[in-house]
Amino acid sequence: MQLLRTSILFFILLAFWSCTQEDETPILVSTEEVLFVGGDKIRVSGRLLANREVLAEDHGFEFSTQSSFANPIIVSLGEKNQPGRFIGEKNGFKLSQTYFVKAFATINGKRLEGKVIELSTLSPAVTSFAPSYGVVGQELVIQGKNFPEGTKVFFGNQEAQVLQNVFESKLTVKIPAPTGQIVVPIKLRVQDREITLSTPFEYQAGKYTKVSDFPGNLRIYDNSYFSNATGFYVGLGKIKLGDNYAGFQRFNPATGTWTEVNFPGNKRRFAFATANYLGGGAIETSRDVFQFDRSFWKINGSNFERLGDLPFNTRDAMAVEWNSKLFLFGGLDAASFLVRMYDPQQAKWVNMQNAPFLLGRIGAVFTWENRIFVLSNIGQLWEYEPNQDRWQLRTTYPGKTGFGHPVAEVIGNKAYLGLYRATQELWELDLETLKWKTKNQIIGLPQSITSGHFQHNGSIYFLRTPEEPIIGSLTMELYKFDPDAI
Amino acid sequence: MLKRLVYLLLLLPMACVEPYEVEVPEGEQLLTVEGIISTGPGPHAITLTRSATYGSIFEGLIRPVSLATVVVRDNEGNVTFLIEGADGLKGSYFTPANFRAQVGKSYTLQIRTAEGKVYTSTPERVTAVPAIQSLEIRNVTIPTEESSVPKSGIQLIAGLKDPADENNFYYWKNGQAVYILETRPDLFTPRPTTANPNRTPQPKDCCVQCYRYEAGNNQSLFVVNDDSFNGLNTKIPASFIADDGFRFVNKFRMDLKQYSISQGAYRYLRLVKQQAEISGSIFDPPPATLRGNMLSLDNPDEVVLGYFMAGGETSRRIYVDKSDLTFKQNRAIIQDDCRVISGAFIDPPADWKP
Repeated sequence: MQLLRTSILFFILLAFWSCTQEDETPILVSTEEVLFVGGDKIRVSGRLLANREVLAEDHGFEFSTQSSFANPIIVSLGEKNQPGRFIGEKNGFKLSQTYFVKAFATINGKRLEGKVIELSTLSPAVTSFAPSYGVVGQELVIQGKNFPEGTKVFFGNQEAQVLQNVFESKLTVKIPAPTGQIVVPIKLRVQDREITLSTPFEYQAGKYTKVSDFPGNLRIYDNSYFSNATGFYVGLGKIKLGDNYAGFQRFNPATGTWTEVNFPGNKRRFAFATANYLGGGAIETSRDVFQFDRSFWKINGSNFERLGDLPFNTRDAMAVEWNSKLFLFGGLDAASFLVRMYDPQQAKWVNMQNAPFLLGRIGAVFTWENRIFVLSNIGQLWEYEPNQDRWQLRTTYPGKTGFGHPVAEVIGNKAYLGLYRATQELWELDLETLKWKTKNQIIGLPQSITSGHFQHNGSIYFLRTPEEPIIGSLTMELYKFDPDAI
Repeated sequence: MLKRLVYLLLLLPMACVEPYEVEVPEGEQLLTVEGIISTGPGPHAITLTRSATYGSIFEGLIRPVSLATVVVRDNEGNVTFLIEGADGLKGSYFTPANFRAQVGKSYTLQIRTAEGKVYTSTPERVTAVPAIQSLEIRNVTIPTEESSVPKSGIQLIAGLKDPADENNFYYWKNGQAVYILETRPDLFTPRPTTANPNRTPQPKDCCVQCYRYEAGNNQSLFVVNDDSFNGLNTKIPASFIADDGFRFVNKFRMDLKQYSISQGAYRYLRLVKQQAEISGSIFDPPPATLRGNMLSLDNPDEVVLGYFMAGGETSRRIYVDKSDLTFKQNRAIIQDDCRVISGAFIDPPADWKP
């Protein structure tokens, strides 16, 4: 009996054990974290939670502007055959719009959904851009935030090519061709919004136009030049592979024609010249042997009136007129630091104190607001105060200084400096702020020197001569430069 | 006959023994991210490395991940680009010096490697951190089996007032330290040369005392949550500075940094601490997977090690005098001018006010 009872109990227990079923934990979908919210992009992570093998026919995220998920935007990531994390990303959302998002998975035809997360897309904004001054084709970087893919950038009305959009915060664009305006606003177009940057962009300007060749297809070197109301005068000096040039050629910028002008003095090279005075110089009688000419002339239009001879030899000095006085700076033949002043009322030359740097036609001189400035051969811009006979270093030329011999012209408050020998750079200096701005490079043969420069009606004229060793039928070319044209 | 058969049968299993080749799957070189941005003064550093592969033999080096584009982005979309350090700091990316995280904002770290792979962290929210109200010194000695002289040092006990009605997670790091280094230039003996083969001592006149700078030396992790002191004033061990025979010879100074970190960062650091301190005893906590907050956008299943943290930061400076130590290590002797030691300078820091 006892055996029977034990046997029954054993079988009952066995029956219970045989009925034991594995209790499966539910499969869950979790909307985990919003990883990224930008202007038009949202990135969310979700997770399929299960403690066993699982096959989801589809999984992904649903986005909607309404919490009811009416008209949802679905990001389907397709089949998923194991539990774990998944990340969904979608572009094209509206800026500054509230959205609701939830993860989903479809398993055995049953749809599982995660919790709903509310978020808002962001607005684009610009913090800075650089450079604010440049040329066509150069890269410009706009820094800011929330720049979606497809952000368009305009320079005025001209669309720029967007080269790169790094982390939706740094747009690199190629500066498009200008449409005539030098200063243009930069605008960003994002969806239906337009952002105009607070600072406009300025195109690097400066247009060169060749206007004439020097008459007779000649190339003259060590020449003199000056300008007055009657035109631009270029002459004297030495003809390439020839004699010294006897007179002058006058260019009329209004008609674009050259006229020969006689010079009553001797031929010479390295003579100084200003609008009203010409003098000095020398002829080379044999190699490096010079015969100096001390004759000194007053210029009246196209006429030359001889004054009393110079009391000194001078060659390659730099001359400038200031307050009806003539200043001669430096020159060759041990005169590099000399400063001389001529007072026409007393017809007298006075030696000033020596300059602290090399002077002569290796530099350039200009006057502005009753002040004299000298750009040295190494790019230092000095101001000379004649009354105190004192020099002050003002600023330094930021471009290449090549082999000296720069040019200097002033229009209004802007000085145009540069074109050093063996360079093509020209810079604009704001004489009030002493800020430099590069201008377009001069065109033509790069191995040219500037044999004269003048001003007329807001334009600057450069007479460019190929360097003497360059062979061929290359002529002296006159270029008109419009500083603010492109 | 039967006996012979038994011997033969015994031989059979021996002949069948074959060596078992253990096939260890080849370890990947995993991206490892480490760093914290905080409300403290910058620059803040994020370090990217590739882990060494694992296996039966040493197979690789931990290599810096160079030439990556690394940014920190806040929840408003403001992006800060990090600049990679120069030689010697390759793989470390630094925020601009003026960058400071802001309390209340969430930050994500985004990485684009030179190979074009993109990684992101989950957002880390910056919470305010209470000030360190006090710093106390506790002498610590640690007996060791290797030596009769125990290891020793000081423990810094930070006092703080924990904010109520919020969960707080604290993390402490040793900041830069400066101490007076004392050497013995009078005992200087040069290396043997042909001119001085017998190593005749050449005592130097200068210098005995220098100020030696030391980068934050964090040999162990100090993290805590406020479960047991929520809203209360409390004092917590926040740092340990070992006595190496140099530091506490005269005067020692250090800035202790206190961070408020996220719950996720706290969990991560606590696990790292636990696993670093496993000694092999049966009472050790079981090892657990260290799950960081970095994700690969190209492959969400890719394992990325490390944790990007963002937190509030406060710091407090402490000067420790040799008299504060009840037990000191034997004084280490450098027989040379103190200025030859790296990081040692003759002039005190401008803000040296013990």
